[in-house]
This record gives sequence, C-alpha cells and structure tokens, in this order.
Amino acid sequence: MSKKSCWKLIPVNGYDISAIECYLERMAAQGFLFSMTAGPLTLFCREEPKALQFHLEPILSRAEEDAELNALYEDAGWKYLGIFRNNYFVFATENLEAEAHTDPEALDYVLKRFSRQKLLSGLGLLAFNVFLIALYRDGWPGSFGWTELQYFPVESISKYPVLPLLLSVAGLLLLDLSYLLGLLCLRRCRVVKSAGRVSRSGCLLVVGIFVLIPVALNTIQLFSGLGYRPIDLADSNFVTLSEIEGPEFRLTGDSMYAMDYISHGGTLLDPESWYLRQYGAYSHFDGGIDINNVPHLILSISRYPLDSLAEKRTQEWCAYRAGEENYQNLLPVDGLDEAYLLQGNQKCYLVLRQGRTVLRADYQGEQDLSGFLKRFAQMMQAL
Amino acid sequence: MKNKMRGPLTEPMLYVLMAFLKQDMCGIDITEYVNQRTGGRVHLGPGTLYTILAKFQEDGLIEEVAVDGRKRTYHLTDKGRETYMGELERLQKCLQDGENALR
Repeated sequence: MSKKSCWKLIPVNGYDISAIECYLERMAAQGFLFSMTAGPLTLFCREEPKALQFHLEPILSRAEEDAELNALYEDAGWKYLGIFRNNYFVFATENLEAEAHTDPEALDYVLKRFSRQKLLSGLGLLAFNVFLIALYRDGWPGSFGWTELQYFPVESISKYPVLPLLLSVAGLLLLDLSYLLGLLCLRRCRVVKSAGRVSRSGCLLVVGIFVLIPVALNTIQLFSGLGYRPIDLADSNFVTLSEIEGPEFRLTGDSMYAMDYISHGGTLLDPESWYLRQYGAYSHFDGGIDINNVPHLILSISRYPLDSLAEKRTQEWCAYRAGEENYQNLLPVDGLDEAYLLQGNQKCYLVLRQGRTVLRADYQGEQDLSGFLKRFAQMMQAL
Repeated sequence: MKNKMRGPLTEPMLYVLMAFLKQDMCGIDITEYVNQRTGGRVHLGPGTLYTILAKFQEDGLIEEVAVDGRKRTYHLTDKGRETYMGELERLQKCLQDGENALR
C-alpha cells in the first residue's frame, strides 16, 4: 500500500517562481499534490495524477491565509493549496489556459515589491553570517598559528573550534550563493517569464542547511550549557594527588588557593574532555614558593569519535614534550592500548590511550607514576 | 504624501477604478462589472485584481469600508476619482490626437 503523503526536498531555488511552478506541475502529473512546506522540505499528498497549472502568488504582507485572495482565486476556478516557505500562496487549476495575472504592470509591481522584501531579508542572512563566524572565530588557524594546525592537527581541533568554523563557512557560502542566485532568478522573472525550465540551484540551500545542522546543534549545546557538565571531584573516581603522594595531599575543593579543579565538557563538534588539576600545599600567601616546584597533578583527557584520531593525538602529545623516541614505552599494560612515560627530575609526563580515549598526566612529585598504570586504566574505563 | 500613481493607468487599472464610480464594491463584483462593461474583452485575473486593489489602497485611491466574511468592500476616495478623471482626460486627448492625425 502506498503512503498517503510524502516529504521531498525540492531541488529548485526558492525564489525561482517559474521553476517552482513547473516542478509542482510535474509532481502533480506524477500523483503528488503540493500540501505544505517545513524548512527545505515539502509535503506532497498522494492523489490521482493530474495535469494541473500552478500559480505562486508572492506574499507581500503576513504569511497567513488571505480570505479575500482565496475568494478571488476560487471564483476564477483556482484552488488554494497552501503556503510555500512563507513566501508564496500556492494555487492550482485544471484549466491549463487560466491566467492569474493579466496585467504585466501589476505583476511587475508585485515582483518588484517582493524582490525588495527579499533584499531586506538578506540583511538577516548577513547578520547570521556575522554571528556564526564571530562565534567560532577562534577556530581560524591564523589566530592560533598555521604551524600548530600542521603539526598538531588533532590537538588543534580539540582546543579550538576549527570544525564548527569550517562547517559554518561552507554552509554559509552555500546559503549565500543560493540567496544571490535566487535574487537573480527574481530579477529574471520580472524581465521574462520562463516556462518549462527547472533549475537545480535549490540544492545549494538544501546542502547548505544540512552542513549547518551540526553547527546549529553545537551552538545550542554551547548556549544552553550542555557543553559543560560539572562532576564532583571527590566522587569522580579520578586518580588524585592524594592517591599518589599520600593523604597529606588531601582534596580541598578549593579551586582558588589549592587549585583543585575538575571540569568535564564537550559538544557535538568538540570532543568530550575531562580536566583535573590538583596542587599540593600551594597558597598565594606563600610568596616564596615557585608553583612549578609544588607537587601537582594535571590530567587532560579527551575522547574522540574515531580510534585513529585518538592514536594521532597520542603521537602529538608525545611529540609535543620531547619527541616520541624519548618516551619509554610501558606496554604491555592490561586495559591500555598505548602507554608512554617521560621521566624527568621529580617531574614526569604520562600519555595513555585506551581505545578512543587519550590521557595525558603532568606530574610533579617524587613518586613513580608507572606504578599507577592499572589504576589509570581503571579510571579511563569508568569515564 | 507623494502620489505613486504617476503616468497612465493600465487598462485593467482604469476599469477597476471605473467600477467604483457609482457604488462601493467587493473584488468578485468588480470582476463581473469589468466583464460586462467590456463584453469580455478585458479579463481580470485574480492575481491582477488582488494586486490592483492592494496598490490602489496603498496609494489612497480606494479605501476599505466593510468586511463580510471573505468579502471586503471598497469605496472610491476623492483622490481616486481625481485620478480617474485625469486619466479619462488624457485618453480623450489621445483619441482626439489620433482622430486629428487621420484628417
């Protein structure tokens, strides 16, 4: 049994009136009658295939049913079907010779006013361009360094919004191009009414919207606070300085003076990450203490959507400190796919990978972190 | 206010104004009036009529006086009458010029 209705993506530019009319006529001939639109999607009802003539009347005021307009059209043998993307009232008739507009000057007046309205709505599109680009401007490699992007690509896309910016630029370019082509179509429509032509530039809008959907979701997550999910340090199951150094280095929960801090976040386009920082016995009142000499533990953890990205990030982290060859490979370790240690004088760096999750530990202290590998593996497993 | 109705009216526009001379009218009545008056020579498409009514309203040539369900009734304003008379005068001069040219 065939469905009574179906949604379709119209490949025609939304401002190419003749092309939309032509497309709707073809669909009606195949048994799909226009019903309504929602964004780039159009709903068609299944009917008997019919040869119909369609007319799109530009909406010059509010996008709601106009009783007088419908009465005039119905009196002339047209049927009102609905509103197309808040831009046009859609009418159809079986009389293929019927004419909705019989005065070229009146038609020109409508199209001129409609074009002017759409030109103004371009300002809204411009504002949208500025908003998105400004929001993700930190992702521009020029602002943090092309070299960083070249040598540490995975770290760069983790630290900066490179991906949202790239998708925003690509999506906006397609939207802007679609809009400009639409204005050209409107201008051409005013000069000459073309028939039988179906342009495909509407695909730009559809692709542009699909490219921008992840950016929109990402932005919503950022603004709604979903991008940051606090967790309690005491119940976090994280390896802490207290565990490594002993109970005298207790968790204070004081992010100001003891610098105990934990965070957890991530959005659709920003890998999920955790960060823990714990300094032992550090206080701003101890003026003579160098912060680097205070026992401390800093854990940075990222979870990527692909194993390959996590592997690359592991290499980058090793290369960042001293070059991978200087790290001691600690494998095999149960529960870890990669484990590297760089031991210095009372300071060490540990880089671990478990599947898609990568951890880097910066530790200042006298203990040997390699003795805590299983504990780190268990902690990463529990994330 | 600046008058936007510069230049000659189109034929459908002239007949729509003509329809209001004797009485207030709604859109569907105007279609019938123009059809009868011109013997079907001038056809007003629904889109054209709707546009002309909106434009005339915006330019102050007609005004809405009643709404009854789906029908809106309009009344010719003084400015509309003046525009109609001006257009009539222009057409009469055109006709005169045309006839003179034949002599």
